[in-house]
Amino acid sequence: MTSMTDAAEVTETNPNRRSRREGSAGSSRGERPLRSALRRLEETLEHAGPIRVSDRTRVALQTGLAMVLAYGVALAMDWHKPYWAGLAVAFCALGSVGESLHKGMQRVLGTLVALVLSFVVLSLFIQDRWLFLLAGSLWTVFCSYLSMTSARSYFWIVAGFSLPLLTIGGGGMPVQTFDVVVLRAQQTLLGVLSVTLVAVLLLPVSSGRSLAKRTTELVSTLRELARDAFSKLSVTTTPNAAKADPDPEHAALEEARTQATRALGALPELLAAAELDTYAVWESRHAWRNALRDLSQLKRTLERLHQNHTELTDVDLRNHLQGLDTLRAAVDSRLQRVEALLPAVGDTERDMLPPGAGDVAADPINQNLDIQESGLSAFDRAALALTRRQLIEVERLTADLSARVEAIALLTREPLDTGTDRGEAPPASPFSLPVLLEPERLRGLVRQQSTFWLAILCLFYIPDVPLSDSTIVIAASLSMSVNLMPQVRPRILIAPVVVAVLFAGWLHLIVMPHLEGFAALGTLLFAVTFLISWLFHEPSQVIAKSIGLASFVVIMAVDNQQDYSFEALANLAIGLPMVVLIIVFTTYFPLSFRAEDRSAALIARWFRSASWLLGTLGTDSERAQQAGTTGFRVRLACHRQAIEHIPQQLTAWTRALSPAALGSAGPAPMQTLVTALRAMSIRIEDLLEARDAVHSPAMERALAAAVREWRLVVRELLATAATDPAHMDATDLRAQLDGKVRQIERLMERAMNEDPDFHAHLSLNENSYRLLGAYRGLSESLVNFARAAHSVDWPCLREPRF
Amino acid sequence: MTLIPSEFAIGEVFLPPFLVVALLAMAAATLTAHLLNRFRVSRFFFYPPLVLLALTALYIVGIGTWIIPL
Repeated sequence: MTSMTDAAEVTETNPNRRSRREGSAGSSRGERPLRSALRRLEETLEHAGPIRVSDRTRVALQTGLAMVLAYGVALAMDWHKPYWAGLAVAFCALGSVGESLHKGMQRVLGTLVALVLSFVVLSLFIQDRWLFLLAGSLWTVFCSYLSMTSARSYFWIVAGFSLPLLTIGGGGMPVQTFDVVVLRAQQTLLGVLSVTLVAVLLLPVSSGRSLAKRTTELVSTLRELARDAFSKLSVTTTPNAAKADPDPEHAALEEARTQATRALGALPELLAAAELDTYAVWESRHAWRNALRDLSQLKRTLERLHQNHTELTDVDLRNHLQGLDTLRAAVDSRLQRVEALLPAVGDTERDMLPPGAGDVAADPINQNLDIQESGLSAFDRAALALTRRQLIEVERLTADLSARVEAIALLTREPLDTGTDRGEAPPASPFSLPVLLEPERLRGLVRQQSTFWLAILCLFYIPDVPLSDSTIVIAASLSMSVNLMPQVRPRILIAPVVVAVLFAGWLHLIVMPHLEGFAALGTLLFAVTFLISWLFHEPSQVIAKSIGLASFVVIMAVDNQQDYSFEALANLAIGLPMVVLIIVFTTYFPLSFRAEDRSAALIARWFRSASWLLGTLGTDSERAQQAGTTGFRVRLACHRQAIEHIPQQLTAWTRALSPAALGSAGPAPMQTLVTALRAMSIRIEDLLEARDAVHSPAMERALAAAVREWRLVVRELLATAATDPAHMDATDLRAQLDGKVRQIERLMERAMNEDPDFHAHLSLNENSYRLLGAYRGLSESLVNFARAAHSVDWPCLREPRF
Repeated sequence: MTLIPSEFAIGEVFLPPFLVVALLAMAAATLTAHLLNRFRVSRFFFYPPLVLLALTALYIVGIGTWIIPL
């Protein structure tokens, strides 16, 4: 357009120049052929429209160009080890500007921190190798720990392995360390800058759109779960229907919950990336963070609602909760509105309001959901009290979420206070005792340190070990990465490493000697990088892509003073699998990371924690005495953390179980067992919250003894399940539970009839109903667990095998 | 004198005999472990990974003594 306008202006001002309307014959006489050809090309491109390139090709193109740029600059500046810049490109070239920049910044900052620390460590321990190694070991364990607890895990991993790299990279000559350190910083910065430059200038894609899209998908999933929860609450079924086998939609809903959990795990990182490359997201970042927190709480509350419906199968809540239908419509409408607003909010060049933003807010609804108790048994009232509280929570969360997304869409200040004003506890510090003492994390640290020290001992006591000092660096970095995914079997790395060595070795020894000049080398670098990035384009293959590119750049060993060494290649071919074998060794020694062992241990630990927590629900005076000691409070926090986190860890470990361990039953019973365990976790959380509330004196007098007896029986069952999860008989438990329910209902009816003060404290009665509902919910989910546990092939799972 | 040489070379590249013995021993131990799993003999071991380590050591000693002299 611009050039046509310019051409028209030139034609008007210079009458000697012919316009395009005079035809090509006339124009060809007055123009040079090259200019005419360029003009025709320009017109063709203008009419063709914007170039459409698939994401796969775009990312491969950007990675290839960044690699060529990084190597070109490094070789032009005569910097040694340009493959360090190549490594930065390999690990930081991701799908969007924000993601690449975010990862690149973490890599640069991690390198700088390690750089400073390397000078400190060398200056302090230069004369004592054991103290030097101990300092390095302590630093890697510190970084490993923080990589498992922090949102910026990549920063800590880079900081962790960079220290041994920088201190040992001088090849045993400390006088060279300064040069090595400076070179590493230069090359890392160069690699990150190359990636950033290419990502920004060539076919840039922002993370904001991806963030909006993924969040929209999550909201859509939660809307589906909300519709399911409300529909189940509004339907009455036969009393035993809920205890029959799950309906066919159960598997689809479980899959939806799993997807929602995965999305919630990935969104914070995506938000951090979007903050860097999308102005609108940066401006409303607080609202985005609060919105993600609301979505997480909404998912948890919907899961609790879903659990409750089994106790209300013969109760139509529409008759007993005023305003339920209005609430249902309002929740659906709010989530629909959020779903409609989100797609436009991640647009970098948004210059108009998204459609629907700023519309008049809907009429307020009845937030109290008054209860009509007539015709309900005591336990139905109890379940209703729990459900009502959760419905109010859903209403509040959807109202907050809608207001936040509206504020994001309008780029205004969100009208709500932060989560701490709701009385919610801030996230635990990574250095608090409950987080520090988390057993799975400590096991990961033991494994990481075992790998590190085994590599050191191999270097010291095996003569001429391949890779020499680099064994320690590679062992440190691989062990820290494996810590984040302990379920992955390290032996799967051996084959890709061998293939990468053979391929890159062939390129290094056979192809490279025939290349002349950077044009040929650059073409090779671009072609191989493009190919690897193009082949491993799925998000789940990002690790394979990084390893492939990293192996390629390391083995190619491009340098200005180029030499071709088969010995180096052979050492790599033996040394890399050797490091992987060390990690395979630490999978079994000194602690076992086999999926069968971890699954059984986590189930046992869950039951021990659950049993302990049930022991803390005694009388108010007992609880007050217990809460006075610091040790008790720490233990309480540790056990609550275990109850909350173990189902999630178990999901990952049970997925890694081999078919031989699962036996003839297959994976389905184990997944059902984990779902039942997660349901029990939710019930225990409900129970702990309900117990903390103030209760009706009349209810306490009437039911204290019976509830205590019930609690102790359940506690005993949980303690026994820690050693034998399948010892409980579902039919027996059902009979016991039904008997207890009838006993408590009789006691409550007697109290209602005999005690004139029974109905005096409505809100306290509701707290007591919630507590009863939570006990019953826990017992019901224990029955479901017992049923699920009987389907699992425990002898096969426990059988020792290689 | 055995027929199998104690020095291995691929072209001009010399491979240390211990490396060859170790690779063969690991392969043999893995095969043995697979067979033990297959016929459920592994259920009689207290900690099979330790047994695998022991099998590897035994194979290294055996192969290094009778097949490829170290």
